Parts: sequence; structure tokens; C-alpha cells
Amino acid sequence: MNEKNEISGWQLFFLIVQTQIGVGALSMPADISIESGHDAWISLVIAGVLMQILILFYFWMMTTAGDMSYFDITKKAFGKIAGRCLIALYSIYFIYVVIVSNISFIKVISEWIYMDTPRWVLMILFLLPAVYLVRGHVSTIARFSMLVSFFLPILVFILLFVYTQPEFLYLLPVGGEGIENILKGLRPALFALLGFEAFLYFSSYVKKDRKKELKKATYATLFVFIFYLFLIITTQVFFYVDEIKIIPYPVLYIMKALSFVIVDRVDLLFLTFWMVIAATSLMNYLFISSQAVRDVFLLKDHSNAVVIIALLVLFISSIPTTKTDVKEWTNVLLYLSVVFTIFLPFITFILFRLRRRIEK
Amino acid sequence: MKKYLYLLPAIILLSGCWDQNLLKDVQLVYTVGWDQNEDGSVTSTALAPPIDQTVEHVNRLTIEGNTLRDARYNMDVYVAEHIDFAKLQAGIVGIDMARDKLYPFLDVLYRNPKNHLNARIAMTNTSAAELLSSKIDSQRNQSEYFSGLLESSELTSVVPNISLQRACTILFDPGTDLYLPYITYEKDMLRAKVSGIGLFSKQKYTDVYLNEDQSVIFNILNNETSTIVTLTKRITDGKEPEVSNWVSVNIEKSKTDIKIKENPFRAEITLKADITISEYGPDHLQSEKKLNEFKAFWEKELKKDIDEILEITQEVESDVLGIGKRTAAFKPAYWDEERWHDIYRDMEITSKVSVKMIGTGIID
Repeated sequence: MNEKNEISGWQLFFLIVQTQIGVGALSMPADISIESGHDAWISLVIAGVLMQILILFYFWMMTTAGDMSYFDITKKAFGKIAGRCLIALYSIYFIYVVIVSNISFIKVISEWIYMDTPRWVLMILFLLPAVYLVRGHVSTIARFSMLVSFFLPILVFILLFVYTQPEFLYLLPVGGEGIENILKGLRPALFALLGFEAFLYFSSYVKKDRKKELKKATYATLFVFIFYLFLIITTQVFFYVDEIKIIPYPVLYIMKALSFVIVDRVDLLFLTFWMVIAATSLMNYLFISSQAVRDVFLLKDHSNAVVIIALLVLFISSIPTTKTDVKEWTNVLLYLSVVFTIFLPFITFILFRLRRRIEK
Repeated sequence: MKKYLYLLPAIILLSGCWDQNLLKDVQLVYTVGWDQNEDGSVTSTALAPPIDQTVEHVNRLTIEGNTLRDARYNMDVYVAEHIDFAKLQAGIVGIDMARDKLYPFLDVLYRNPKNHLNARIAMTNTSAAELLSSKIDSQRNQSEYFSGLLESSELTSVVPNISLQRACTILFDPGTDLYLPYITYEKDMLRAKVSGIGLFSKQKYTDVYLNEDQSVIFNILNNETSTIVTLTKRITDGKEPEVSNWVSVNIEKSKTDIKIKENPFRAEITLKADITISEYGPDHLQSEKKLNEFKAFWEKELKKDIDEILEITQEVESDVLGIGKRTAAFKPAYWDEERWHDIYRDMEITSKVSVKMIGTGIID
């Protein structure tokens, strides 16, 4: 089949949505509540606004740069050699992201459903389809992301049952936790929304009508933000805040308590859907990292890089085994992500503009 | 030939499952009772239905352990299958456990991923082991009896639906105290009975429970009524026959508002209820005057009942209506987690009832 290696604006929209929504969505309400208590949703709103500003900056940056890819811009900004070194750092970062999303997902399902299945088996089963899909064109994963997005309404639908007996008092008093705590909650909130940087790496595949199409994609973050806001408010009106703090996956836990006429334990059924959603997040990151690796080693295409990265991920993922290990690995990402999604794009872009001006 | 080689991985990938849980290997416990012994250890009593539906006998096991989890594993030694609580319908807390801080006992229920948290939880006035081993006349298998008992009492609004998950949320909330359906055993009837709602204070049972009539009013106050809410009161004296002195009403719709006010710090409870008369021997309810009399009567009676319940809960420091929760939300300046129960005992709570007579059934 002769596929074009390009995507439309809506496909980019779903790519970003699926990169953002991964395993993190299930634990996000707890992560934020630990810092900012019952005002967690305020932290999320602030984080959402910041992120929206950031994505508008990305948008402006990518449209002014023409149809260059982000890594091309990096090379242009820092020069050939330094640029390639920087991209090498990027590829390590993204491989690390893949590893973290892999281990945190394996942690959920091995704690929740597959208690007896060995972890490496789960990992192989998780990575295999990812490798298969990512080796192809970008349009393949874009279409897959689009398809998988139809699972999201299922989650919303199930959680609506919480509103048969909500306790809105648990959201009051607004701001009672104090500004300091709310700002502390910003960090996990931003972390939960991570994945919007996919915009940088996928936007160069949008070839036609760039300005108009890319604009559509900026709504992706808005969509995810509203989706997360719904999740966090739903968990907060269901649990007392001290309870959320000890439940690592409140969204799943709610489903454990719901009962329908025919089906009990919706959480188990739901987790099987969520596997696919978590897998797309991993796939998209795998794709980005393979792109980075391709640009570092100047390979012809990325398909071999994917296999090697996947093997690397498989081996490194088996190192952290305990709960605290996983937490530590995730915490490292928290700091790295600030550098790679906010700091570096800014510098890259400033240098890029300077160079352009000098050239002219 | 080459085509079929692709099938080889399928043999490896699709064969079997590590985490299978076959029905023939497990004994599904439907009802479980928990007790605390004098030395602090726990006794767990499990009722599981027989595999053969025609057999009336239930599998009953009463085992001790240091914790609930421990007792559950001790049970495994006695049964041919593996004990499984995944299909639990009801958990019953014995009185000695209820009198102690409840959450630490129940922790395992929330920690274990296999458990299902929609099971109902209730308490009893004796030990749970005693209740579960009493002889019970029932159409149902005894292992399903207790959840059915609770469910049918929910239907008539005697008790609210308290699932394990709800109990957990309430236990964690310092601004609300727990309340559990209170089950007693009636020797003459050979049946268990839902006798009301047991009141807790700081996770511990207060040794006071609301009787069935009070429980209905309590559920109205908590806005937790089900489809049927019936109240019967004596309205007159001296009519013949005796039943003519009584009137029954259905509460079709009710809404309770609890407001926290300052200066002085107090709570105001307003109940609005739409009532239809469902049974009244003397009939002749056409005149507006008569209906107004009824309205005034019910407003007075309901207020009396509400004040009585408030007095009881304040006396035993059991903030079951969640006034503390509201204080924390609306008037955080008055909220003091440490001293809340003292504040609650001494605070002023006023009530106001307004009733609307909306019908008298299909005769006047």
C-alpha cells in the first residue's frame, strides 16, 4: 500500500490527546491531592492555563519555522554538531519516558489484575504491538490514536454514576488549602498534563494548510485539560480527601465500588480498555524517540531504531522492581521534563530566530 | 507451509493464563461476620452457598486469627477450595468490634484488589458469629439472606445503603460519623431483623441506636430515602375501633437543608415534605379545614421526631448528619477537628418543618 507520510490537523489532535492520556490519568487525582488537598482541581486549572499558553507558543514557533521538523530547527539553531548532541540527549530523554510509562503501566496491571503473570511477559505483550505499529508511517499511529480515542467516552459514561450520590461539600471551602499548597500541586498537575510536547514532534508531518490545521491541534490540550478536570472533580466528590491520598489509583478505585445490574467490578473490564489507551501513549513516545535516534545517527528510516529502542526499554524496565523504585524513576522524569518541554524549546527557538536574522 | 509458521507464536501467546481463577477451585463467600475477641484477636465467620442449589445446607466456618486476613488464611486449611471474597454481598460487624476503632479491622478489604466494595455492611447487637449461626427461616439460602434483608429494609427507607466503600469514605471524614444498619435476632420468629441504625462516634459504636421509626426520619434528614417512605402516627384518642385513631402517610418528596449560621454558631435544619394520606379509617378528608389540621399535625409530629433524634445524637456525640462536614466547608473558622465532638454536643441545632398535603389516594 502506498501511504503518504503525512497527517491532517485532526489526526494531530488525536495524536496529542493520546500521548497525553496514559496511565497517569488513573493516578493523577491522587498525585495532585497529596500536595494540594481538596483544592487539587485549582492546581489543575492553573496548570492547564499555563500549558495552554505554552502550546500557543509552540504553535507560533512551528508556524514561523515553515515545515521544518523540530529536530531540524534544533540543528539549525545550535549548528550541526552541537545540534546532533542535543538530539542525542533528546533521544535518551524520550527513551526514558518510554521506560517510565512502560513500568508504571506494568505496575498498575500487575497489582490490579495480573498478580501471577511474570512482569517480563506483560512487558513483551505490551511492547510487541507497539513496535509493530510504530515501525510504519506516522499516519498509521495517527489513525490508531484516533480509533482508540473512542474509548474515552466510556470512562466518562462509567464515572457519571458517581453523580447519583455526589458530595460536593468535599470541594469546599474553595481555596481553603492555601495558596502555597495549591502552587505545590502545580508540579504533579503539570506532570499529569505532560505529552503536549508531542505537538513539536508531530506537527512537521502536517503538510497542507499548515496554519489552519495546526490550530485544530492546539485544541487537543484543551480537550485533555477538560477531561482531566472532570476526572479530578469526580474523584473529589466521591472520596474524602484523606482517602484519596492513600489510594494511588482513585479513578480505578471508584469503579471497584460501583455495581451495575449485570456487571460487578467494572474496573477489571475497564482496565482492559485502558491498556490500549496506555499503549498508544507509549507508542507515540516510542515513535518520537525513534525519530530522534534516526536524526542522531543519520539513518535512512526509523524502523530499525524502533526495534533496538524497544529491546533497550525491555531490559532497562526490568531493573526497577519495588514500588519505591518506580516512584523514584518517575520523580526523575518530573525534573527532566521541565528541561526538555519548557526550557530547551525556548532556547532553541530564540537561537533559531537569532540565526535567521544574522543570515538575512 | 510458510503461511502456517505465523501460527507458531500464537501457540505460545494464546495458551492459558497465569491469573485464571476457576469457579470450581474457589469457595465464594457471600456473607461474612467479623468479631473481636477479648484478647484482641478476631473471629471471622463465613457463609458460602452450597454448589448444589437444591441442598439447603450452607457452608459455615468460624475461624480465629490475629487479623481478618490472617483468619481468612486460617480458613483455607478447612476447605477443599480456595476461600474467595470477590463476590461478597454483606459484611456484619459484631458488637465488640464495633465498639472499637473500626477502620484498622477493615483495612484488608480496601487493600486487596480482589475484593469488591459494593457489598453492604451492617452491625449486630451480639457477636456476628452468633447471629450468622442462628437458625433462620428464610426462602433464600442463608448465605444470601442478610444482604436481602438489608436490601428490603432499604426499600422501605428504614436503613440507607451503606456499602463498604461508603463506610470507608465516612470513616475517613472527620466531619461525619458512621452509622450502620443495626441487625438483631428475633428468637420467636426465627429471623433476623433490621432494628434501626447504630450510631458511631469517632469510629466507635456509642451503644445507642435509632429504632425503626426514628431511622426513617433520620433517612429523611439525610436525604437518603428510597421509593417507599411511610409513617404512621396516632392522631386522635377514643375513636372506635382503635385503628381509626391512626393515620398513615406516604412522603412522596422530601428535601432537607442544613444551614450553618454564625453569631451564635448554630445549625438550622429545614425539612420540606410532600405528603399523601395512604390510610385513614374515618375518611371524609374533603374539607380544606380538615386537611389543614392534618398538615399542622404532621408538622408538629415531624418536628418533635427530628428534635428527638438531634437530642440523641448530640448526647452521644455522634455527628451522623455531617454538620461538621458542612462547618468545615462553609464556616471553616468554626471548624476544629480535634474538638469537634465537644462542639457538636453543645451546639444549638434548630429545626423547621413545612408539610404540603398533596393527595389522599383515590378516595377522599
